[in-house]
Amino acid sequence: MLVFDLKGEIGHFRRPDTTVTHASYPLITRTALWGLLGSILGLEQLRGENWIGIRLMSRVATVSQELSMLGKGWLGNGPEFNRPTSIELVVRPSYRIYYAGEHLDRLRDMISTGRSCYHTYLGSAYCLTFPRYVGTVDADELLPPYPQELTTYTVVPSQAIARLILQAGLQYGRVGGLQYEHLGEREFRGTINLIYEVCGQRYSFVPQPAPPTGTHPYRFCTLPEGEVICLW
Amino acid sequence: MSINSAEILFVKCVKDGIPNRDPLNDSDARRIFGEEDGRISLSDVSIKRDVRDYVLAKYPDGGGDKKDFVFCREERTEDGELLGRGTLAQRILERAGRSSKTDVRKNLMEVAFDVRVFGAVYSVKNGTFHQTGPVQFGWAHSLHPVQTKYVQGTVVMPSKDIKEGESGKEKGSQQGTIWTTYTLPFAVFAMPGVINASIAAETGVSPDDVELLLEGLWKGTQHRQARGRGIQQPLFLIHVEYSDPFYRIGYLEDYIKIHPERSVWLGSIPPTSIRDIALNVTDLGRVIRNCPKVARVRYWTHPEVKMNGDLPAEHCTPW
Repeated sequence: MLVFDLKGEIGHFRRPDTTVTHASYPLITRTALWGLLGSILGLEQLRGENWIGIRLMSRVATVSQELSMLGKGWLGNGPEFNRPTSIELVVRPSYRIYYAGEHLDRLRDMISTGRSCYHTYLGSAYCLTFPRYVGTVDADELLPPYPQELTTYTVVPSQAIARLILQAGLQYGRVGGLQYEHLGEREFRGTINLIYEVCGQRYSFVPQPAPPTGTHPYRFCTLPEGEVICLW
Repeated sequence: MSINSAEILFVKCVKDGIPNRDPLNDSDARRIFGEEDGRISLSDVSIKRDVRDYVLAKYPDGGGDKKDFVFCREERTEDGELLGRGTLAQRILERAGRSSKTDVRKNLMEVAFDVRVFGAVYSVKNGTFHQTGPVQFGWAHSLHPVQTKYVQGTVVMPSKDIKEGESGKEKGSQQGTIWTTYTLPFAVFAMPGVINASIAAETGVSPDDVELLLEGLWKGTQHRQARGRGIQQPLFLIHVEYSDPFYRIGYLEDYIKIHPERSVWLGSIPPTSIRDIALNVTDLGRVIRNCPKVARVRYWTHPEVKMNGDLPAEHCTPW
């Protein structure tokens, strides 16, 4: 499994159902991450078998800013050149990314040598990021039926969780309706809902005994030091 | 002629004003990181606007080769109607002696500096394209915490004028109005940028375009003077070119430090001019020196800025 870090001062993972105001998902989305991997590899679109895991390395926080962006007049209908547009930014996002899949060797070669074919950014072009190689590790896959309790730092699709084991001092977050797959030309298919700990701390849950049929696939793996990673 | 992939780090300062305000926060400075962190920010949009406005002022007719028009700009008809992007593209192409009927994308990239460099989203009937720009800027963030001040002033001219009508003379207001605004005495910002050679080849960015971009950052900042935006000065610009089109050092802004440190900026006598600060580029020099894939490094400095540390680079004279 390839492990690398992404960080930036700001991120913007635009929710597709926002038009006048550009709201953001609170963390990097699957489609943004696939796009970033494709950008590193120089691919128009990442295809094939690719599994990703995301660990939050900083607290999830967002802030709103109003920008003077191009107005309807310039876009073709109206008197104003500028239009005040509110955007939501993720503040100081930082992620540890786990990748397994058919592009592992080339991604490792590119990231470990500080290279990328195209720009890499956190959701929007003005949110520059530069992947930092952490390592390549052997991971053992946990096969269903899964244990009664799993503990992880990583973001987990909600369909993988039968029940959260609530712990004092942790803040649980859920984000719903993230697009699952980019088909190209801004067309998407499927959505996914994610559970995470807001500060990136470890949390425990009772997993579904096995991935439910009819939902997007996911896998659990353990790293050599015993850390459980959810890939999806 | 192709260009190298590169990174840019641009440091500029402002005195007595806020270069980019946040309308959601009473037009105070943009605070992304909160009061405790204290840094303030400038959007990439505002800095690109500086470059575009400079290029537009320098080459209002597209320059000698008719290749430096600025597409993303406000242009109106004689009776004040704003030109939309479709008509604007058509006008620019006509002025450049190009066809506006065929391949608008190719023609626009050839004649418009900002389309080649920053990219464009062009969406008009029968002619939609989306071109990512080879040059991308991050937001600029101050290198230190900033405390803005809320100030008031008065306007001499009254808002209501005297009026003479059929019913006689109507009195206007007897005094001017009061205005209030946020301002800051002095702040220094660092903005990162990247130039991607692969996309530059697609859009046709030439070495001349890169030079104009760098000049635009420097001089566009000097030209962008307005009372509310403060007096802005470019302090330091570095252009790190790579021999490998895919390589980037990344996060160049993390390798510079400003003197004095945070506590002084938050103290009772914070720096108020270029002479009160120094930029430490020791770490930046080290990381560039250790980078095996550097093709060329050039940097420009304001004559009054103090630099600590050495850069393995050509020190160029500003434009």
